[in-house]
Amino acid sequence: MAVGEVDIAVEKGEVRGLIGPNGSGKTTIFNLVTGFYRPTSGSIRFKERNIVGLSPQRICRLGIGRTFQIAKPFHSMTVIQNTMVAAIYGKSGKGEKDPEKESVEILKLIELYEKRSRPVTSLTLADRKRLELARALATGPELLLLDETVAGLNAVEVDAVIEQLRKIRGMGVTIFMIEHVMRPIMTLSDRVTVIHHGKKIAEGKPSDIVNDKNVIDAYLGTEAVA
Amino acid sequence: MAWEIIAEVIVRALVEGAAYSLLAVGLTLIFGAMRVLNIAHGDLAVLGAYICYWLLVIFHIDVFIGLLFVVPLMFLIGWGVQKFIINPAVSIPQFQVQASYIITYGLALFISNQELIAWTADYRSLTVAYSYLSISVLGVTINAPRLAVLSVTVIVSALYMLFLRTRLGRAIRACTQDREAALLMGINFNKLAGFTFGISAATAAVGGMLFALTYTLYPAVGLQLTIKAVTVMIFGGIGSVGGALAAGLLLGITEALVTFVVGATYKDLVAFMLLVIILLIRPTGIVRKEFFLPK
Amino acid sequence: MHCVQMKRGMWSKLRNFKFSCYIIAILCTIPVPYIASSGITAITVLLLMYVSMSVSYNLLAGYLGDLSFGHATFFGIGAYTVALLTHYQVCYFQPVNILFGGILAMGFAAVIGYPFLRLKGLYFAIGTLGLSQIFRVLFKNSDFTLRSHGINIPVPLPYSIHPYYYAIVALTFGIIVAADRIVNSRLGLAFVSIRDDPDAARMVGINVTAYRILGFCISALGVGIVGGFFAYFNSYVHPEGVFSLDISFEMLLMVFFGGAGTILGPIVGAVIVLLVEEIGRAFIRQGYLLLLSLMLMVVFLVMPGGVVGTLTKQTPFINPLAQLRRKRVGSA
Repeated sequence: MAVGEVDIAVEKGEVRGLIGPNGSGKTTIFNLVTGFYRPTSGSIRFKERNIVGLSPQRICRLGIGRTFQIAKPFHSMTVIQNTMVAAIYGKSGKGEKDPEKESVEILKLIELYEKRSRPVTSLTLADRKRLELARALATGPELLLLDETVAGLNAVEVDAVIEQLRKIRGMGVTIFMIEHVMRPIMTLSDRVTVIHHGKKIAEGKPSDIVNDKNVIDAYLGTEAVA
Repeated sequence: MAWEIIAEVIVRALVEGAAYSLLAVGLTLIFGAMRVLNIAHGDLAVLGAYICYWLLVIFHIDVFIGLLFVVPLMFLIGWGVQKFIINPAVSIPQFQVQASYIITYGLALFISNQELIAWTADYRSLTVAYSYLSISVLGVTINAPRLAVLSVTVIVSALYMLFLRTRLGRAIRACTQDREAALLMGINFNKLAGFTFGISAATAAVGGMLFALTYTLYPAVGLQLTIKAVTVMIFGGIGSVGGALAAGLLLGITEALVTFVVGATYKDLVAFMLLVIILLIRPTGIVRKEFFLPK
Repeated sequence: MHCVQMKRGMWSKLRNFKFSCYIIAILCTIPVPYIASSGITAITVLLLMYVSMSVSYNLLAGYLGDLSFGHATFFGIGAYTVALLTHYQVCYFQPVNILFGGILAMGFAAVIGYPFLRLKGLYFAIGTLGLSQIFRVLFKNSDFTLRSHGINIPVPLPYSIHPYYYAIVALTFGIIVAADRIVNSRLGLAFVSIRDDPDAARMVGINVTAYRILGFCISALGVGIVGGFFAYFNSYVHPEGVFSLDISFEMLLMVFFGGAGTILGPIVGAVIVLLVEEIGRAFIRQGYLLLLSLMLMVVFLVMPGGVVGTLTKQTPFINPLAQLRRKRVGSA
């Protein structure tokens, strides 16, 4: 069983970090929330509503956007086309009907605007991850699930992403992010949840987590914060 | 006595099912270990059967003896197919997912049309010279050919069981269960692939020969045999040799029953409908989880 | 290109170019029955049939990425609808019968669509293959469909190829235009998204299964209508002929050889396949499919994008993970 008894509540408007060793079940949690997996028991509530059993596309339309750990762009298309697909299909029922304009705005925010007509296959890793973010954002989500958005990026790129996430948060989007790189977690999160072997072992402010003995033993080691 | 009729039907069904079993065993081996569906599988079987046929007709070599020649030959052919056709196809980055079944589809039609040109669409039959010999078991008469078929099936099954215990066999089983882990353990996949395909083709040839013994042989039957083999494979559980053996016999029995009740023309329909039905009921329709495991 | 164009200027220029291509092509085809021999006209009819089928099939296989190995099922349904309606003297009006054939084919696709399109590629392929075989055996043994004797459709005399010819010309252009519109619309965008990455598509709000069924139905409609036309043109319909593997295979080959996922690709593929078939039939007679199957294997290994794909450097089927592995993470 990948994920055992987990009880997590993310507040609207907060930035929540999700950390833990590899294989502890973090992505599984995302898969459960977004409808790719179905929990054997328990409920998942979003905006007062139980979303267990709903399909991923339905959940997207309800307002949850998500990036994948390994970027999954639409590889036959260009950057802006990728974003537009998300804007067209992900925003059904959320008002605002100019996908092109929205895509352009998002690409400018994520700093991909210059590369908007490039085929996705010519992008670097960093750009692909940015595209993941742009695409998820283009669906107009209220909750954004980010799966290791800065993994593999260098320090400059990480800083850029942190800035973008700050702006996104400023737009009123709730962020729930999985990371192994500690810097975004420490600088952005209001709270952090720690998962180990599919169970929650700690939850609280970043500064508290870093000093939590369980967390240090399970994951961080004594040379914790980057 | 009713018992004799029933027993007769059962024996006949087993004999016919034996061919399906062997066909399915070869298919499940490749599909389980390599995730390659060889749509040309039935046609390879038919090819082997044709060679046996010509050995019989031209050189008067008994079909079972002919197997001694055909089996190694088909092994080589199978190995060649893997190395020169399947491997390059699967290595094309664009088509990794679809490659195996598109190209084996082409191969299937290639082989069957070669046969069509070379040997025409005439129905052929394999016969044995000693059909009048028979023994009596529990009141049921089993003639020599049927005995030979059953013996061959038992021998091949036993060989498989032994083989799966050898180092190579265990490697194949490992690949079936968890390919990535197997690769990490240092199993050399390329050498394995050719060998597995060779065994599969050889087994298919035996199955094809048995099939031609009980039914008729013609080029177009290859694809139908493939479909039946796929049905049996799915029923028996992908990757399971024992399952394929059992399910093949079951199919033989079912077909015999259907023939008995409704008539011979609907016999083929059984396998096709079973296939479609099981595909539709199969819970791993989308297998969403698999999309997340980077391969 | 198959996606919504960004720059307005370019879009209208492209539209004009395409429009003029259509006009020129139509103008070329119109005089054929008058200036060419009956043999050539007949082959042109056959060619247009092939083009219609492959363009329809391309929507499912090329753009959506679902490879059906038994699409002849819908061809046969269309053909038999016409044959049975005529045989049982229900209706003699050709356009209605043909249309009805297409609609029945589409209806059947809608019915079996949901269970079938949840299947993964390989199982979908085998499943559709099995489906076409089921139809073949069922129709071969049913008295209602006159078993393997087939059904003859009386030809109105005196025989003139003109009505058939112009009907198929209209049909083909209709199908090409429809396909073009679909592919350049939001629907086409959704199709390609599903083909490229179904999970990502789901996560941006696309109902993958629904769209797959839609693509399945549309391609079934196209192929079914051609089947209905075939019934009239050939004036004879029998199970082995219409539910045959040859037809399914030809569709697959035309699309892949010409270039899956492009508009021009299946057209080019249809031309080449027809040429090879006619030449093959002249020399090898029965086993001419041999050449085709050889072609498929060779093309696959050498030119995976098909003729059009390789020429325009578009490779429609790309496994993203392989792409990542292959390409060095290079220039920005």
